[in-house]
Amino acid sequence: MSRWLLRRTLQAIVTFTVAVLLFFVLLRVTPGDPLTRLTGDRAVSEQELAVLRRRFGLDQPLATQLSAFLSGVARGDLGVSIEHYPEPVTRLLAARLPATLLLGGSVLLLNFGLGTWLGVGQAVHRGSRRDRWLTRLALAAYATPSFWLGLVLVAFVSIRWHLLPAAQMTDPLLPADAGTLTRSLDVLRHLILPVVTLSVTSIALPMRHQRAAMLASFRLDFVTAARARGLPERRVRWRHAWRTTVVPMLTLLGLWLPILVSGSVFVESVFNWPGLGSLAAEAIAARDYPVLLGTAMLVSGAVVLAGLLADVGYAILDPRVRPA
Amino acid sequence: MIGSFGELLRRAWRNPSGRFGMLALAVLALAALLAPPLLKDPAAMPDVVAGATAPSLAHPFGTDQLNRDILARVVNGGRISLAVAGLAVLLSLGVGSLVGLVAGYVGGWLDAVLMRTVDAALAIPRLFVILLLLVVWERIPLGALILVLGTTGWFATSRLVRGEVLRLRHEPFVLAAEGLGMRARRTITRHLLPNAAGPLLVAATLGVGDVILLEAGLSFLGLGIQPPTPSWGGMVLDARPLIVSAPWTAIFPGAAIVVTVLSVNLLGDALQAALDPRSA
Repeated sequence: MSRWLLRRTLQAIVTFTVAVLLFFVLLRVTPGDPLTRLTGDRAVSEQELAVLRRRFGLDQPLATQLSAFLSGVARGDLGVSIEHYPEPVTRLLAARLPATLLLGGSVLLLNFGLGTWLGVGQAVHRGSRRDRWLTRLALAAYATPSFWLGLVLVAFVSIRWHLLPAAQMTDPLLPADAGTLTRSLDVLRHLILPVVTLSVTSIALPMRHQRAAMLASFRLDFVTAARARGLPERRVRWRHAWRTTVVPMLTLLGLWLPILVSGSVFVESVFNWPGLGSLAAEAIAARDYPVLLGTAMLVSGAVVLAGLLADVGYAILDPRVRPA
Repeated sequence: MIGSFGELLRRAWRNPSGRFGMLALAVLALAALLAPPLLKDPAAMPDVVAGATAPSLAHPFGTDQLNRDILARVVNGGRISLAVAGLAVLLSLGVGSLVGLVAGYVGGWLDAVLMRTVDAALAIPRLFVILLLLVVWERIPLGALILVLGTTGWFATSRLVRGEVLRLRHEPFVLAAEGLGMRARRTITRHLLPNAAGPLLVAATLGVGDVILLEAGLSFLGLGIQPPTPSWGGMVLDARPLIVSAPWTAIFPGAAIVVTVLSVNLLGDALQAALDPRSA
């Protein structure tokens, strides 16, 4: 187990390192050099450019630049924001992380819960009218652009009907001496629309995976055996068939995370949710290249880590997948 | 093999979802190809004073803030969106097949290097790769957009093709072909690729839906198709300040995205079901 764990961890490190290398390549294949990104629209003379080139080591050979880039990432130094100069990118990321974790975590929980329940229902009534319509509905939701759904929800639910707040994470008019409960409820009210938007547009995946996993599970011998023993169908369904699907479903986390993160760029910017997604959207608007790059690297790291954790969790829960 | 390709489409047609998808796509394609000359907007000149007007007989989808006919812009935007998505997916399919074939057929260290790179590339959400590539442009040329969308979409395809190659390599008919002295290139084009065509068709169909959504999102962020060329995502962006006073300016282009992507995915789903009935 420990050797397997070591190998799997090494593999994750290699994957992330190659991803960082790909980021370096990405910086090089785009037109201009990183300085054009640093200077942006400002008028800069040739001499200033030369000084800046030396300052950022761009006059060095490519190999030296690469090792500087790599060691920077290894030290957790992702450069300095252009828009919020001289704020380090890492500090901006850290400030925006909690809001994204709250939003993403809520969506993940909702998708796992509701997606599982709907997917199991579909598998049980496979081929029924309900199964077919749920599949179509899920596909329609998947086809819906999150930014559009968010805007429509804001227009009607928030602005026309005044039911829920349209933007931000907290009410700025909240009295300073408000208690924890009031504050939490306030955040919760702000959380509902972004969660609904992101969840609707991404729930198709867990539903489909759960449905397919349940169908495969229903074909297993021990499920047939449980039915033959006359166990109540509900018990066979959940205690037998569903249980075998839980762990494989958890390993899909690494697959869902990129979709969730990409969606949050749009949802957070529509709802002005103060997370990483809106940070990325702001960085695009301000052409703040270091911040965008930093966000992308953090996200990739999270995806690799989620894949690793899912595999390790799988190995702990299901001894069959881990080689002795 | 052509026979079974036709069989695949026939089976998808028998599926109500597949039929809906095919018909809807046919209507959309026809509209994109034929409608633009018919939709010469009489009020094509921007008219800021008149502004956005609600749907009426003259303008079934209403007009936008510059008094442009939204129906005409939705149809024209669809032309561009479909063309961009189609070309980008073709590019992805080509690159992905090539990499997958090489990795699966040659094997060894080349396979290992290619697949580790694909692993790493898959760890970076595609949206972010595209953002990093596009954000440096002052104005994004349409060709660059297609190139960027196409070259970031082949990773999963290459894995799919590699898997098919590994599965087929030791099939008796492939071994027989090689035993009879068939050259690698001929084995690949005559035996391996045709047999991988089904899964590739499914992946390509679903890929088109993904790219339409991606392109719409990019245009919404201002990094996709550049105004004044109409695009569905760009129209939603323009409609953002009008969402309350003139909701039709946002609702119709968004609905066009939903209908198109849904049709594509229903078709992809039906093809998948026809290919592997157990999954349905």
